[in-house]
Amino acid sequence: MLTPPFVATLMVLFMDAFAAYATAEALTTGSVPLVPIEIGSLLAGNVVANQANLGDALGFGMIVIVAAAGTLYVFVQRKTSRWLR
Amino acid sequence: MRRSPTFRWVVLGVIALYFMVPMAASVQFSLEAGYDGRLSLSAYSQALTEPGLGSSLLTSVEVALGAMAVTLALLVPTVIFVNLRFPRWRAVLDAISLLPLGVPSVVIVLGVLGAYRSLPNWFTGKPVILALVYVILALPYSYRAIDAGVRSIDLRTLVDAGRSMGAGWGKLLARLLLPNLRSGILAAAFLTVALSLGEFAIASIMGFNTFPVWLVGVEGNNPYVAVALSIAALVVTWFLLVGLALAGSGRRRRTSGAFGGGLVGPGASADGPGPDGASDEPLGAIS
Repeated sequence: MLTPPFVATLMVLFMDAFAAYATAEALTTGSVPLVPIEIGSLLAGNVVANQANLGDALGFGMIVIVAAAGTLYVFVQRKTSRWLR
Repeated sequence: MRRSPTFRWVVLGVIALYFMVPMAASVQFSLEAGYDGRLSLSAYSQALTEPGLGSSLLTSVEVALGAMAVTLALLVPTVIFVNLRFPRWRAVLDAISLLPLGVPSVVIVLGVLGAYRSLPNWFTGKPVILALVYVILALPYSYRAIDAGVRSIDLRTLVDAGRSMGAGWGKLLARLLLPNLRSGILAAAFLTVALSLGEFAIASIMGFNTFPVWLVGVEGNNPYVAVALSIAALVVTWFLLVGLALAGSGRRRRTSGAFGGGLVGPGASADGPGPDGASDEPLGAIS
């Protein structure tokens, strides 16, 4: 009965944690290779030549994953609101 | 399904601990900078002389004020216009305003850097670009605040009344709509400023030395000073927001008597007693 709202919460938390950069950077000074940290260090110029596109590719990958989570969120939310009506 | 009050208090207590323990630990840590085990305020006095404090703070404040100005200049007319003329497009605006919540901020930087790569360096190298990015980043909050304000007043009646009294769009906006939308505009301004002052990821990646970026740098050299500064920033920001909120509600009470009634014309309800009273007055003046 409470599964859809639970999944929705899970998705929001996942998107937030997945995208977090500041907390990870300040807490571990970039030693844990998370995707946002990797993109950040690529952008900050610690780059071997011709890797500028690697950051773009990683970024697009993130968008795909977040979009999937967001779609699931919207779908599940709709289900909940249909029940409430 | 009744739960005992004890259960409620336990939940509240656990959550309070979860938030308070790190803060209390920070305060204690910042007071231990005397290095001899005794509590002292030396970290706080050291913080004031830390090099770079003034310039990074100035950058942050400039960026925050810039982002606020652009946000208001862009959003207020847009939201009013859309609500007035194209109500169907509200859903589209709503969806667009939510995008920055979904797209990770790191990816936003990627996009911004890619899009502005061809622009000259005097533009991309200045914090101006940071302010513009913060406008987008604050959109989910600022748009909602202004939209809620616009929808809480009887916009069409206000505009029709003002127009029929011969006010142009500029006068209408300045003397009739802005005073009525003050709480929504103030909320949007607070949220934009607060977000801009605290944002770290984007400023750090783009290489701007804003206050949070500088603070993380200080932490490497002198953690006591950094923690003392972050506590000071927390307290100052909190007082600032409370003060601004009080100023916003206080001005309304003070001026409501002076402009309460009597005046005729679109300016009559400027600084009036609020959305409900104000939307009645111009109509009263017409009849």
